[in-house]
Amino acid sequence: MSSPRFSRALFISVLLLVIIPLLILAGLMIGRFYLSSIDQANTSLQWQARNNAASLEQLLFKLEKNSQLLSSTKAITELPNKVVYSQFALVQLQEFVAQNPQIKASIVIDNQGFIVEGYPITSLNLNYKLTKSILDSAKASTQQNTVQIIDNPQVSELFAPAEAKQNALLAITSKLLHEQDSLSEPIIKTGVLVSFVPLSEALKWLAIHNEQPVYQAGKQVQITAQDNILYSVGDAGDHGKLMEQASISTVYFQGKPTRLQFQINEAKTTYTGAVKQTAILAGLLIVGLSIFSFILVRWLTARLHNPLNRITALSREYALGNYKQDTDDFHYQEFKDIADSLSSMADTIDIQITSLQLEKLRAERSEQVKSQFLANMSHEIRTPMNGIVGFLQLLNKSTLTQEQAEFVRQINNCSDVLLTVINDILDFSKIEANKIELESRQCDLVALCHDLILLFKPSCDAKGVGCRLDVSSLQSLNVKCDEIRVKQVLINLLSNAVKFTNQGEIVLSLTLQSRDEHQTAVVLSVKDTGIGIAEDKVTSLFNPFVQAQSNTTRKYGGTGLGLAISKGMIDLMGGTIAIDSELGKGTEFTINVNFKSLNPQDASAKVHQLDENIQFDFKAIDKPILIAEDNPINQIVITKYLTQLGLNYELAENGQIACEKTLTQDYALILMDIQMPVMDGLTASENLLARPDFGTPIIAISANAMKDDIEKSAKIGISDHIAKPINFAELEKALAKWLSQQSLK
Amino acid sequence: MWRVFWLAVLLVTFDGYAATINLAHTMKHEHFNQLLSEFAEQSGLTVNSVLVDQKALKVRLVQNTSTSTSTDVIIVPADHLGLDKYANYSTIPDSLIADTTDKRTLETAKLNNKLLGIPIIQGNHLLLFYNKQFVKEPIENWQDIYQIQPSLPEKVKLVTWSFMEMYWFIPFLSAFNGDLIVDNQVQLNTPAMQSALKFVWGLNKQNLVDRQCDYTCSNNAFKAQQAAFTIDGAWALKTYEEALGNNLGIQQLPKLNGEYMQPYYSTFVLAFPNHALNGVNKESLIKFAKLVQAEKFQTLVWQKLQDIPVNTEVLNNLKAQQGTELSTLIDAIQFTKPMPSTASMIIVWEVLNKGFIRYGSGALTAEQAGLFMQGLAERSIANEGDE
Repeated sequence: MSSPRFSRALFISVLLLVIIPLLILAGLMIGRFYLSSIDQANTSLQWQARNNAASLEQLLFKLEKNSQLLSSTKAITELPNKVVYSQFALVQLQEFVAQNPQIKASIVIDNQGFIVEGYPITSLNLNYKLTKSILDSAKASTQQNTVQIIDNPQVSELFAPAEAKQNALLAITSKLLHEQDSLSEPIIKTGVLVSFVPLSEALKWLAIHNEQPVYQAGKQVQITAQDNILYSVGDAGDHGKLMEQASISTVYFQGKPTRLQFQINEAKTTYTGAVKQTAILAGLLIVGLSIFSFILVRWLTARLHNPLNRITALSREYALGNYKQDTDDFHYQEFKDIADSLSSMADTIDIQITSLQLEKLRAERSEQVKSQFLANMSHEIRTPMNGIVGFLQLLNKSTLTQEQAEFVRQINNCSDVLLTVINDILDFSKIEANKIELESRQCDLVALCHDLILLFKPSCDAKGVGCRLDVSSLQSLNVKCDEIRVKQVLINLLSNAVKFTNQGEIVLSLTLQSRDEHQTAVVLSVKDTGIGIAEDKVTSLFNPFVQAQSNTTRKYGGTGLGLAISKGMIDLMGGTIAIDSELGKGTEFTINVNFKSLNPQDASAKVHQLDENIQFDFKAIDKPILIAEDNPINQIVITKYLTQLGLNYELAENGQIACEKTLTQDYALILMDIQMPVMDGLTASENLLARPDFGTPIIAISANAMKDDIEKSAKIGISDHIAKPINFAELEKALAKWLSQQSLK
Repeated sequence: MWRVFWLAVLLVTFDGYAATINLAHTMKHEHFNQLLSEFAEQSGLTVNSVLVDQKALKVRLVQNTSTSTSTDVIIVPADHLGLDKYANYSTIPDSLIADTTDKRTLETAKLNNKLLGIPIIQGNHLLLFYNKQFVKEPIENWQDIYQIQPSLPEKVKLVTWSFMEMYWFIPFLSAFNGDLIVDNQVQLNTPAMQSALKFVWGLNKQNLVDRQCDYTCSNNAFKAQQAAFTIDGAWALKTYEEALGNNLGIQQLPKLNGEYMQPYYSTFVLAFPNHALNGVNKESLIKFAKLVQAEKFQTLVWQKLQDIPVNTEVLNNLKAQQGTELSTLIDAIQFTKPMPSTASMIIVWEVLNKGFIRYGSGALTAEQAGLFMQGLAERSIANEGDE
């Protein structure tokens, strides 16, 4: 689970502490603003409705008075009875209409309801039923003037064709009262003057009077009477309307007096627009603030992040071992302090590492010195050992008494033990120095195990211990491995088994686990019924110089390197070695290792090698053997042995002499010591082999039984290599091999 | 308008007590007031003249019966003498008529064989004025007017006249062989009347003439050279000459359907309401009456107003001196017919107007309009007689 990021935590903190409170505050304020706006809107609408209603009442009053004034003129009052006034009355009506723009028509109706005169001429088309109705309503009123509502689309079409739809008209009537010289009837009613005012015109006047439009977007104005909408203009939408109305004046509608109402409907959005804008503005501000906060947080985190990154990078550089870094360019003191602390720590680590490196170098140097010492020791021990072993071998071939022969045999055993110790030390040092490289040659593991049983059977028989091989049904098991090293490991284990087993048996087992064209998995085990190992000692058994018990060395001998070397070898082979032991009952070492599988070509090569084991007649060699050896003892040992074999020889004390001799004498073979004064064996061999016509085999003889030496020999073309102390059997075999090849040429 | 009228009347009346002649007239000529004042002043008379709308003056005269105020003298179309019942005109003694006055004109000033007015200007007939800019030569037939229309600029009207005034309806009625009074009988419900109504309103419906364009509108349009033709009275010649100069063309009304469009021939007369001629300003009024019939004023009538004088000597002199305009005016008279000088004429004009409007508004068909007019006229005339 990843750790939370500091920048996110900072941003959430800002969000919680600033943005959300701001949102809540803005919401409260906008809500309050909304309620206040609606309240103000209602008040405003109420004022508008009252104001407009009052204005319309004023208009109607003015029109009534103007109508009354016209109706009182003699030409109009007498018009129903005097045709001679017609044209003049028509002019008067025309002027009246012109002077009162809200009036779209004026007519004079006589007492029967007929139109006597009217302007414009379209008014003459009003039907009798209507004019009679107007007359009757006017007569019914006690007032001289009345305002009647004519909600008749045909009449509206006549006087306000552009806005005829739902546009009622007000008919302002004034009774025509004619004064006459009569005591009984001084005033007679001759008719009615009727003026038609479309409500649309009244509202137009209202707009002019108010110097502002009566309605606008989102607003609707209606003139109503008895809940009937007489005129409606504008659109307040279908939802969220505010409504206020005010009474204008009393009118006659459908023959009955009623109140004319001015009603304003207005969409709430008109007033809430500001609220909406404020909300949007607040929203934008909050969004802006959020963005600003985000940027600020980003900036702050960047200000923190960059130095943190630098410190992280610094730490990584330190982790990579780059302890010399610049820590001065941090902006903030805190980071500078951290960097300084890190730098101080790095300096300390650097010092420690430098010290460790020095120690390591020292250790490596010491290791090299040790290896060199071991190599030298090996050489220096092998050289006299070569003499000892050589002479023992020569002595053993001479005629000896039984007692002398027994002495020689004991000396030979001691020298073998000594050689084993030397080889163990040498192998261990090679393992430690990681200088062992395994070979990969064909090997029949079954045969190898069989040979080993045969090898150890005499020792087991001598101790009365059984010794057997368990290979199940395997007849052979050919793999590619370093046979010598495999054998070395098993010999170590078998040697231990024989050493620590006094009764029972020792079993060498070989099991094939699996096999494919690449790998062959085998299990090798050595099981004995010996003294066993205590459980607490088992884990340290593979450590060098360790034996199960402190008195083991005293009782059984040994360097304590055998198991360490074995484990080192198995490790090199990529395998494992395990131990299962019980004190007093026995021990079983189990090796699991994967060898390379053998292909058919490898198998044929082995056959060829086996053919090399042939008997050779050394006396048939007429050419001498050149022995390049500086050590007189070794000279004696080698010359004696060669003489025993029936071979002639010549001696050279160093490589240079050897080279010179070859110029004048043709040799059957050259035995070349490696370490010699004047010119060492390798240089001399190199010089000789550089000659174009040089074909004499060279067998290197060296106390330096190190891999490097053998490799160097092989590299410059030396035919074979024999380690000191010389095993005459090996030497004989090598001689036979190369001399036979030489003789075939 | 009404208030201005009463104010004018009051002023005239007040000055009357100072031996000033208070005069009201309906002459639409803009120079007439100035001419009267200047001429009278030169003759030692003080004349306060005021132009009054003809319809208003008619009402004023009708209403005069119940008032004690009046003017000394009026100059009105002769048909106004039909309001004698209300106006109480002074009968004009023959001695007050100049010998040189055209005797034909005297017939127009008589009501029931009683001379109630002194003719001072004759003719008063309608002519066809045209703008030579749009009309190259006089036309013979009314239909020729239509030929002009395609060549007119966009805002130039084809023909204008005071559509709603019945004086202009008469030539169309005459072209259909109709007349208002035949043998002292009102003849408003006739086929000619119906045809005339249909024809005239048809012109309006075809947008050849604007019914809402009144006299002032028509006059102004022609003066502004925004009309190719206008039908106007002889009295307008001076005004149009000043406005159009050489572009002005004048001719008698053309034929319509092969018949001459005959306007009424009439006179402007001096009349003395409320028997003013026998009142306190009698001497001044007699002097004034003689002055306006005399050669000097009659000459000015042509020179200043370019109206046709009634003084035959002056007329003869002018004929000899003047060019084509006067000849045209005078020649056109032969194609006019005298306006009936009966008392009922004043009612006929009103009834005709009512019928004309009701037909035009669609309230009545032509046939219904004829019946309506005839019936109303007869009832009104009968009622007038009863009062």
